[in-house]
Amino acid sequence: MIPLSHSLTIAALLFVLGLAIILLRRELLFILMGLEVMFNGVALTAIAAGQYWNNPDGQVLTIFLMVVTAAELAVALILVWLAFEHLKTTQVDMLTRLKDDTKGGAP
Amino acid sequence: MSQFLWLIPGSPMLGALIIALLGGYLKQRHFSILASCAAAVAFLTVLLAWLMGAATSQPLQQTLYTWIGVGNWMPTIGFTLDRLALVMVSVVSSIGLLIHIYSITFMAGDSDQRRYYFFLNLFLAGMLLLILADNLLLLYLGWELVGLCSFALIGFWYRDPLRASAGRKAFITTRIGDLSLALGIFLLFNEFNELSVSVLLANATVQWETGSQMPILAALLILGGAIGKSAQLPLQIWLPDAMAGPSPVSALIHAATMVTAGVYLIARTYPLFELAPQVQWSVAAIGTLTIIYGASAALAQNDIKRVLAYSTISQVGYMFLALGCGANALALLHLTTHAFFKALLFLTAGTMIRTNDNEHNIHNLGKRGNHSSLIRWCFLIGAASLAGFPIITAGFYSKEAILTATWSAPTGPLLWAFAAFGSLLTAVYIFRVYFFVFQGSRSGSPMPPIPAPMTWSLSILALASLVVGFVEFPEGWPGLHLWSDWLRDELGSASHPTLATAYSLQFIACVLPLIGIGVALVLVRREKLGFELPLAAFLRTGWNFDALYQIILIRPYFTLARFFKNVEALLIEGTLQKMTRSGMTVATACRDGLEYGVLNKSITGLLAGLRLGHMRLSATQNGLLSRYALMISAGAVFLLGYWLW
Repeated sequence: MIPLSHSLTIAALLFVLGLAIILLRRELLFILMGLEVMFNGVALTAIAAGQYWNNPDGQVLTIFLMVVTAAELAVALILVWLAFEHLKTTQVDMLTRLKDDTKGGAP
Repeated sequence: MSQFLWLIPGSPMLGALIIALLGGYLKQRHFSILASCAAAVAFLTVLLAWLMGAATSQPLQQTLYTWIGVGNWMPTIGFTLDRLALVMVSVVSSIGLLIHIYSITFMAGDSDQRRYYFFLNLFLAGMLLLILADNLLLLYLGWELVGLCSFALIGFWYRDPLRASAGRKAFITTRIGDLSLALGIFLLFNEFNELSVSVLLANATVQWETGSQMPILAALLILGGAIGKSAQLPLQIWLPDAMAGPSPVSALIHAATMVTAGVYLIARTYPLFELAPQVQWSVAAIGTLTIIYGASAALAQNDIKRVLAYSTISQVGYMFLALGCGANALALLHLTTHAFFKALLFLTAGTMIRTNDNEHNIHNLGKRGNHSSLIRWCFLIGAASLAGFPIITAGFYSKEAILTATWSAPTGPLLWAFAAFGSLLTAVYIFRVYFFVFQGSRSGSPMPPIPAPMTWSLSILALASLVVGFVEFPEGWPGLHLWSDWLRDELGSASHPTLATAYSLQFIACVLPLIGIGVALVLVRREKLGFELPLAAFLRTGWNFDALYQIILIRPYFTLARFFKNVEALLIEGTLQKMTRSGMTVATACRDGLEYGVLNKSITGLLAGLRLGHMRLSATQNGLLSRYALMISAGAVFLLGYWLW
């Protein structure tokens, strides 16, 4: 039996790792990967807690999470592709077209 | 019967999903058929409910499943069909079906029917969901769905930037109201830990005292939501611009159904308003002001659809007036008749616009002449019903009843005087349009025949605009008084003035439309000779509300933004410069006395630190996604740390 604290530590590490990827990488695809890593951290927490309390809800939640993540990833990948199609870049720093300047006055 | 309730909002939702997901396998012309079938199933289910005696039995209920279970709070996907909801679903599903059928030919030439019918079906589903929802959370879901569909359909022809911006304007303006409604729901949940409408209202009447602070706040927040959706003063500015959408959409969403969602919401939560008499009175006051506003602005419009838009604003004002006077059943009656005659007017206007190469101007429409007699008669019936032409039209019965009920409310005679003046103006503006468009129209080249689906929908609506009112004859008249008796248990009833007063009020209500038609005749003759109405420009812009909001809201916002930018520049850069200068002075002064290297180094270090801080600060608003992500996570960590500590 692995103690709860071990799995929670791993989960926290995964979460922080994912967050670091999101914060540090500039490539949209890597940011998506970072998101996935964070999701995995969360799922691991759910599993560990479910095991700790002898409750199947954690596993149910994880399966849901996987399904939802897969769906979300499909949409997100299409968006990345579209961004590349239309804007010719997947560097997140280049995607600043919504940036507004207040010089223009009332619309 | 109860187990079929889900079909009412479910079948349009299913239709929308099929069109959205499997639309690739369908041909253009199949979308309209599919969408109409979905609407028809909803309508037939409602019809079935009537046949099974839903009108006389206890409210029907169906709980599909528990939506969210958090502790002992379990909002459900559940429907309740009581009498109020029964009236609403009947109106919405029947008019929705007719307009789907009308759209088959109206939108036949359009290349993007998939999007159109998806949103039309989704709208119908959202509206029916809003009506049938048995808890406020589900109601709010429907409320947002119809708002989204309204936005998408106003801007349906989005390649035209004007139309797209009209859609955005509607969305943003109604959002103010939606926010208020959401806050109201949060407040109620915070107080009662419960969102089921019936339980909530029962708790409120038991726990809250009449006129105390909580019900006033709750009622005000709900009223805010209703005002936004129903385009009442001061959030009415989006509705005239919403006419940029296709005409069937204007008829369905911006005349018959969605704009009356606010009326439904207030009628649904009326015990709250009875606990807050001041707010109830302000509902009446807002309604009265809006009647005058809408009617006077409609008087000077030249675009036929804008006349009808302002007319909708003003007619919904009558419903608010009735709600404010406690005559909820009569508000519902006017809602029903208005839905039919206004949908009729919009559809005839849409047909005219379509057959005359997108001509919206009433003067030009009149000059072109040769409108088919079906259109002419339908418009006349709609106009007469809107004006409240006595005895033969449905509009007369509902409007007269509201006027009479107003008299005995607090400050009734004043409200009555405004509302009666509004009803005079109503007859003037709508018959001004009628005379301009149809009077002296020459019979030129024969028009292309109107396709059958359009003819059917128009005829059914015209018939309904005449006969729906017969369910409730005026007070003291022989004939049926079904409506208010039937709804009395659920919605309460308003106090009536004495019979003698009622008769004189009824007489005035009969005479006003006739006078209005006469005035319209004179007005049209004068306008054809080139005389303008006094204040025409002011009225045409809707009392300059847009310009007013531009001045008091939008411009200050931009000024504020520019001000902060300047403050940032002045404060941070100015301080930096000053620090540099004083640092330099100090450095020169101390150069000989103190250790040169230490001081110089520390000052350069300080400067560099400040520069860095300035750069970092201004970088918070640089539009870089990763920077925002960093901010969000830092904020979350900070809050979490604060909360745990």
